[in-house]
Amino acid sequence: MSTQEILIDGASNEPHLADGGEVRGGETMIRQMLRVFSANRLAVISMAYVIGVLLFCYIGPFFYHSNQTDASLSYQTINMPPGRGFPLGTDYLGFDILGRLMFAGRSSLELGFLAAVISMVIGVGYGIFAGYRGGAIDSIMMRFVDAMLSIPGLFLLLAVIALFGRSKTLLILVLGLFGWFGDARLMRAEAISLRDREFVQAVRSMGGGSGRIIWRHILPNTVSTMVTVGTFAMAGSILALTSLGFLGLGIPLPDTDWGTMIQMGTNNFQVGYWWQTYPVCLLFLLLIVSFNFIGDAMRDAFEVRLRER
Amino acid sequence: MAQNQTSRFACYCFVVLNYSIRRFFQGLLVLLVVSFVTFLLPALMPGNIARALLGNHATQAAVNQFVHERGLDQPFVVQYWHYMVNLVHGNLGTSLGAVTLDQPVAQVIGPYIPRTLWLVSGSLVFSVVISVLIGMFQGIKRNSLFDHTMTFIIFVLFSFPAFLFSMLSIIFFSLTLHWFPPSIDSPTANGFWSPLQQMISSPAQFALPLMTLTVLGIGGLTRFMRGSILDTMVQDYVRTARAKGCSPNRVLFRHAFRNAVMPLITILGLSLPGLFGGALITEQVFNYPGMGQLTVQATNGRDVPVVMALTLIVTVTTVLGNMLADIGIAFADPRIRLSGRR
Repeated sequence: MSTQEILIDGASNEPHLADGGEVRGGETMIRQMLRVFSANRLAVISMAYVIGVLLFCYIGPFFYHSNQTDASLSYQTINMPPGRGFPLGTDYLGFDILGRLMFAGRSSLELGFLAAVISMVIGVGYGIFAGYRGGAIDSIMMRFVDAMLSIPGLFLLLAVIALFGRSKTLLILVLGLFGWFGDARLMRAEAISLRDREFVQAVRSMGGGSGRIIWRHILPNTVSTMVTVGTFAMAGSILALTSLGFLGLGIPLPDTDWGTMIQMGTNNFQVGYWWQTYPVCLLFLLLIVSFNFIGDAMRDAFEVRLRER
Repeated sequence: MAQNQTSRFACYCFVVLNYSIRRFFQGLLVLLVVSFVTFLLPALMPGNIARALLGNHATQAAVNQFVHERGLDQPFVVQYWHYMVNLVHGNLGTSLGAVTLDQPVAQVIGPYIPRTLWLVSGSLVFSVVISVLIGMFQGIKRNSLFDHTMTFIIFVLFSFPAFLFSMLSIIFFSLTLHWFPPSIDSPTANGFWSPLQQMISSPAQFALPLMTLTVLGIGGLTRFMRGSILDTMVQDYVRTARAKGCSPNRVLFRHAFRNAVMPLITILGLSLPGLFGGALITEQVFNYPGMGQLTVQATNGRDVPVVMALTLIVTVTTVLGNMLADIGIAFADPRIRLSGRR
C-alpha cells in the first residue's frame, strides 16, 4: 500500500499524519486522479474534448467575433449556408452559427454546472446525514427520496416549469433542487459503509463529536464517489437542460442554449438547412459521451459502486 | 407425503402474501408523499391563475367568483383534504386549461393513457429480449472482439439522449432512406386496446418510436445482464453442474440463465421512470398524442391540474411496476423473501 493510499484511507498510524489519521491536503488526491486518467485512453481523449469545448466557448469569442445580441433579419443574412463570412452558416434570425455555438454553449455549461453543484451539495449533505444517523430518521428521509425518484424526472421538471415559468435562475434552481435524489441515495450508501469503520470508532473513542466525524473523516473519504457522481450529475443536468430546450422550454430569447438551437435546427431540417442541426448535435452528443466516459473511468478506477446513473 | 407438500405450499403462499402486503403498504406510503408533492407545488404558484385565464379586462368580482367556485381561496390544509378525498374517490379535479376549462381531468387525460402505456410496454418487451440476448453472449464470450465492440456501442447508445436519437433516426430512416414514415397518424379510436390495434395494423409508423425507446432501455439492461451472467457463471452450483457432466448448453440454460435473469426484473422496475421520460420526448418528436405530449401541451398552457394528474398517474404506474417486480421476484426466488425480513 503506497503512502497516497494510506492517506486516502485515513486509517494509518504513521507518525507524520495528523491526529486521528485525518486526510490532509488535496495534492495526493489530484495526483491519484491524474494517474487514473493517464491509464485510461478513452477518458484522456474525453477529458481533452471537454477542455476543448470549454476553451471553444470561453476563449473562442476573443478570436472569432460575431454579433450574438441583435438579430439581423435580411435575405442576405438569414438561413445562409456555410460560406464566406459565415463558416457554419446562419440561423433563422441571422445569427452566425459558429458564434452561436459558443454563446449557447456558455449558458448550457454554466447552467449545467451550477445545477450540478446545487444538486451535489444537497444530495451529499442529505445522503451523508441520513446514512450517518441511521434508524428512523434515515428511513423517513429515504422514503422521501424513493417517492421523488419514482416520479419521472422530465415530468417533474415540466410540472415545475408549468407553475413557475422559466428564466435562467429558475432553470438552475429547478434542475438543482430536483436532481439530487439519486446522488443522495449513493452518498447514503457511502456513509453507511464508512460510519462503522475502525477509524471512525477510533475518533469516537477519543471523544470526537458527530460533526467532526462527518466533516473530517467521512466526507474526505467519499471524495472519490463525489467526483464520480458529480461528473454524471454534470452530464445529467446539461442533458436535462438540452431536453427542455428541445421541447421549446429552454432559456428564452435573447439568450439561447444548445437545446433551443437543436429545436430551431430541427424545424428547418426538412427544408435542407443541415448546418443548423448537425454541428450543434455533434458538439453536444460528444460532450455527453465524453462526460460519461470520464465518469465511467473514474468509477472503475475508484471501484465505486454506483447502482444507477 | 402429499399432505406435507400441501402444507408447505400453503406456508409458502402465506410468506409471499405477507411480503406482498408489506410491500403494498410501502408503495402506498410512496404514493402519499408523491400526492403531497403534486399538491404542494401548485399551492406555491406565484401569480393569479384566474387573472391569467379570464384576461386583463375581467372585473375583480368575476376573478373572486372564479377563485371561490373552485375553492382556490380556502386554506392549504382544507384544499389538500378535499384533494385527497377526491383522489380516493377517483376524482382528479377539473382542468384549468383554456380549451378544456372545467372539464373533469380524468376525462381530459383518459384517452391519452393507453397510448403511452402500450408504447412503453411494447418497447419494454423488445428491450428485454434484445438486451438479454446481447448481454448473455457478451458474458459467455467475455473479452472477445464481440464483447468489446458491443460494450462500446452500448455505452454510446446509453449516453444518447432520447430526442437526439429519435431525431437522427427520422433523418436517416425516414427522410433519407424513406423506410418508415416520420410521424404516427393521429389515432381515431380512444379505447384501451385501440393503440395496440393501430400498432398491429400499421407497424411501420411505430417502428421508429419503438426503436428509440428500445435503444434507450437497452443500454442499462445489457450492461446489467452481462455482469449478472458473469457473476452467475462463477457460482458453486454452476461448477457442480459442470462437474457432474452437464453439456455447456444445459449448464447455461438450466442452471445459469434463470438465476442471471432474475435480478433483471428489479432493474426493469427501476428503469420505468426513465422510460416514461423517454416516451415524453418520443411522443413529442413523432407527434403521437400520448401522456407525454399532453404534458408538454398542458405545461405550455399552464394547466396545472392536468400536469399534476399526469405526473401522479405516471408515478402510480412506476410504483405499481416496481411493486409487481418485487413481488414477482419474491415468488420466484425464496432468498429475496428471507433477506427482505429485517
